Amino acid sequence: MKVLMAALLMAPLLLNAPADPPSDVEAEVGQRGNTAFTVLKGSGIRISGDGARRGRGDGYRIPRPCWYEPGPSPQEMLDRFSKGRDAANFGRIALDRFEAFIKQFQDKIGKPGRWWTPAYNEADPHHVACMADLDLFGVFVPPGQTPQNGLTIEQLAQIARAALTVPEHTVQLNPDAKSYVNLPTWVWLEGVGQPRRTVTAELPGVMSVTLVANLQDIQIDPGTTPERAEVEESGCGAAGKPYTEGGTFSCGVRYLRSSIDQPRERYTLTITTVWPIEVQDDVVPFQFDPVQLDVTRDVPVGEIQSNVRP
Amino acid sequence: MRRTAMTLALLAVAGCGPAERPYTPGEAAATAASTGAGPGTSPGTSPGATATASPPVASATRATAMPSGAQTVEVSDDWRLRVEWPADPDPALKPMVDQWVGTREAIAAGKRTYQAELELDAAVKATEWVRGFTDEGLTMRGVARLYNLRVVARMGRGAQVDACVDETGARVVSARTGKAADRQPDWVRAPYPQSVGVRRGDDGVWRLRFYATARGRCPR
Repeated sequence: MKVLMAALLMAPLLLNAPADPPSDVEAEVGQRGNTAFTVLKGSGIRISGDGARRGRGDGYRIPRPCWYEPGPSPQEMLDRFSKGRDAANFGRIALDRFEAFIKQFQDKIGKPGRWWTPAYNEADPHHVACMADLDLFGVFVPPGQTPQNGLTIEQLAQIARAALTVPEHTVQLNPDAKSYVNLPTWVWLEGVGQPRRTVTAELPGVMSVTLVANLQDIQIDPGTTPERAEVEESGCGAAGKPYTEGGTFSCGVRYLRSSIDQPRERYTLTITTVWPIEVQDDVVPFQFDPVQLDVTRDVPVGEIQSNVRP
Repeated sequence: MRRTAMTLALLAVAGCGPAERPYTPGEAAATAASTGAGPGTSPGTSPGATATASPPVASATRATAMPSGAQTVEVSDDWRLRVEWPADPDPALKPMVDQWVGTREAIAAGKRTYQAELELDAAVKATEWVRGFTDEGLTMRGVARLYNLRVVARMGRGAQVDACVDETGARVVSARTGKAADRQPDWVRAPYPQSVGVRRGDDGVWRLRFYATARGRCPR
């Protein structure tokens, strides 16, 4: 746990200073750029798979972003807190309390069981509140038992779900720069790559969960009312339908009115990719909502002018 | 010279705000205990023993009302703290205020520790900071402000409390001569955020568990 007294830390000569605050608070909440949503701290969990790299998440939040993981033996725990620099520091500053603190680890020597220690997802905006609810130094657990808020296979699946990303696609249109009233605007995606993504969360030697996301279809929102646009999705498949000369229009939008009266004189077309998720081998009886990723395009729609001469 | 007790400053807030009243660290804990704000789910402590540090002592002699509005604390003749409580403050905010006032009182008193109501990890951090002053013969003077106090998240019995600290009106000085230190820390140059994790104990009292990495901006 980062228990930095960030705003207060300073050396005796007051040369150190609190770290500069980040420029964008919202960037700390949910997705940041192309990085995954999970930043595990204090954890032995490994995240792997193509779904954990180079993609965009949907900001999925683990219901409880902190948990206990099986950790040190009684002797290891005692050593951890009774030796070394931290122990010396604790003892130097609060000797009376430190002795009572250490006693709880001494009392477990020779008893069956192990310590479960806290871990958390630092990317989750509730991780501080969550960690405040746990015992910072862990709980001692007899063999074969899981403590309350201890890591379970379901919690591990939640962590994998938070780490899952899907490719960030681009939307292709035809016509591209500008469309016209009653003219079919074809829609398809590029940059999706393999329509199957996997992510595995594993606590080595203890448990593992793999999630598989398959691109199933796309959804088209023309950015206006049905009176002004007709959506055609019958031939979209998983990634739309690229334009072909003389082909049959079966995926896209036919705008029925000009966008001249719209904000910025254009419609905002949104294409959503839908990635249903399965738990591989059904190790968890749990159904996740699909990952849905939105990408928007501006579509100016003009009237086709015709001059009729008598 | 140093006033350990809070004195009634009776400084009117600029404009037409309410008059400030003195703040006493530890007040309102009884209210915090009785209202017990926040979801009441139990922490995961069973089976097995919990490994918390020895809990701080909860005073049974505290006042019963949560503070509200602006309060002034005179930690010394020339060092004044202003706490801006929100209207209808959440009891979870109290440990943040207590540690902010308490660490500065400890510095003003030349103490080498500050542990009151803090769990061990936080007590170590707070004490290290206090010693950064007292071991070097330093203290502060001027005016500081704690504001924008808020509970930003809750989970079970835990909560995250954030606040802004403005110590731009204060300076680090020699405790012996009162002369300003040659090099002032950056945190007296601009307001900064502070963030803590707090937890409501079985006795209903909120206590500070740890200092968290503070994020965000603090406009004045």
